[in-house]
Amino acid sequence: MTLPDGRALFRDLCLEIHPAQWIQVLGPSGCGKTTLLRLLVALERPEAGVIFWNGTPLTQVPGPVLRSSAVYVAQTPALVPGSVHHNLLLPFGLRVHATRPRPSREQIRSLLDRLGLEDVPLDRGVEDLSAGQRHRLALLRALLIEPRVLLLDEPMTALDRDSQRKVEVVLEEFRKSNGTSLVLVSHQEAVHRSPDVVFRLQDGRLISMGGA
Amino acid sequence: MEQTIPHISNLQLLGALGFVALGGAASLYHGLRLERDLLWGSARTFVQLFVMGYVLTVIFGLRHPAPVLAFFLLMIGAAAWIIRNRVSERAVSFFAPTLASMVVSYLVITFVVTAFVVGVQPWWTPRFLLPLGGMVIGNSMNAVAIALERLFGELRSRRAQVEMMLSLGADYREASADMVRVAVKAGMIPSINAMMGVGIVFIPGMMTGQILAGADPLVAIRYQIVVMLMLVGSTTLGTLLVVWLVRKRCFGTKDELLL
Repeated sequence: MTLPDGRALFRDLCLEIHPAQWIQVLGPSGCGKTTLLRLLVALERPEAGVIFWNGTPLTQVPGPVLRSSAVYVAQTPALVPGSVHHNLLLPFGLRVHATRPRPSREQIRSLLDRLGLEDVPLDRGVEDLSAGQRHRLALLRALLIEPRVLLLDEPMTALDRDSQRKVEVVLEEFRKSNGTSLVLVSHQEAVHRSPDVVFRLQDGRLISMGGA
Repeated sequence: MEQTIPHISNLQLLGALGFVALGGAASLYHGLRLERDLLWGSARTFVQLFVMGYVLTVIFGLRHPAPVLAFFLLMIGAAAWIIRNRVSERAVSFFAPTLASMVVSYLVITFVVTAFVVGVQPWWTPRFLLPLGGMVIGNSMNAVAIALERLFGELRSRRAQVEMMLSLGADYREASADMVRVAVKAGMIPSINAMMGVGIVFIPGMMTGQILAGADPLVAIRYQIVVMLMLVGSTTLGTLLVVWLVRKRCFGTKDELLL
């Protein structure tokens, strides 16, 4: 990845993600936070350097296999036309998740409620949902396939403080029960839960800021 | 019904340029800046068709399939090159898959029509293969160009949706299924619309030619029906193949979107 002036976007960048770790990457807009997440799930190809998945270089891991376990939720997540329920079950129609049991409507309802989406019926269309509701829906869609790593791009930006707290509680419970690693990139610190590791992305390098 | 076709003299041909002068006048009046294109297009029409006339005269006399098929492939190659220049996408190289899909689909369709529907012996008889094949190429070329433009446009404008699907574990086929559907449909619709209007809104070129040449209209319509159906087949096959092949090139080895 190179900047318009020819300099590399990242230099000496080294990041290890361990199971059940909560990692926060902070940095100003345009510093490469989103690109970092996209590189980790092979939506972008690095010009130099190697990324490993369980000790195997990403170049040897099929994209769909990687992304079924390391799920990236974009800052402005896309939904397809249709109901909330249809959008949440979208991954279960994919070949890579074919053997995964579909969650029941009750399970989905319960998770929606806990994310502060009590007033969003499952059969409602997604067209008129707010940005915050759309983001939580996309987050829940990712959680339903129980990834081993969840990479969230500015997950709290569109949410009020109460919703942020609810999302953090659900993420924390999910991390503990499933051993899922969480990588959140944002320009602001977490509200409720202190991350295990905090990095600041500065001048193309990740500088450790400690953690809980 | 047998009539001789009136000969069009050189003077009469030049007189027909008056129609182009009308276009030129409109261009000047509205500042369309199409004068150069009109002039260049008219010159090319004269040169290309005269050259084709002489070449066809030679080829129609041939008794070997190789030069006939070589000429047919040349026509397909030229069509693929026109599409390459017409479709604006430059991030993905699509000439080779376009050429391959056009060669396969047009050869198959033209072979089926000449060998089985019209029943010409041998199937490559140039007097049948080249005009019928030319119609297949000319009409399907537009379909392929429309489908390609639409495929690239859809993948770019719906990038967020494609990448959302990829992020959930979709492979490139699953992530782009909607866009492929839209592109194939866009390519197929003109030939279907043509079937709706034929014989009511317009008298097609081939039938017009046959009637002008003195053929019985009832014979001419049979050929025209075959042509219309053949065009649906060739646009469908050409569009499907090109979209499938080019779609693969829009994604990298990790199924990441390259556009």
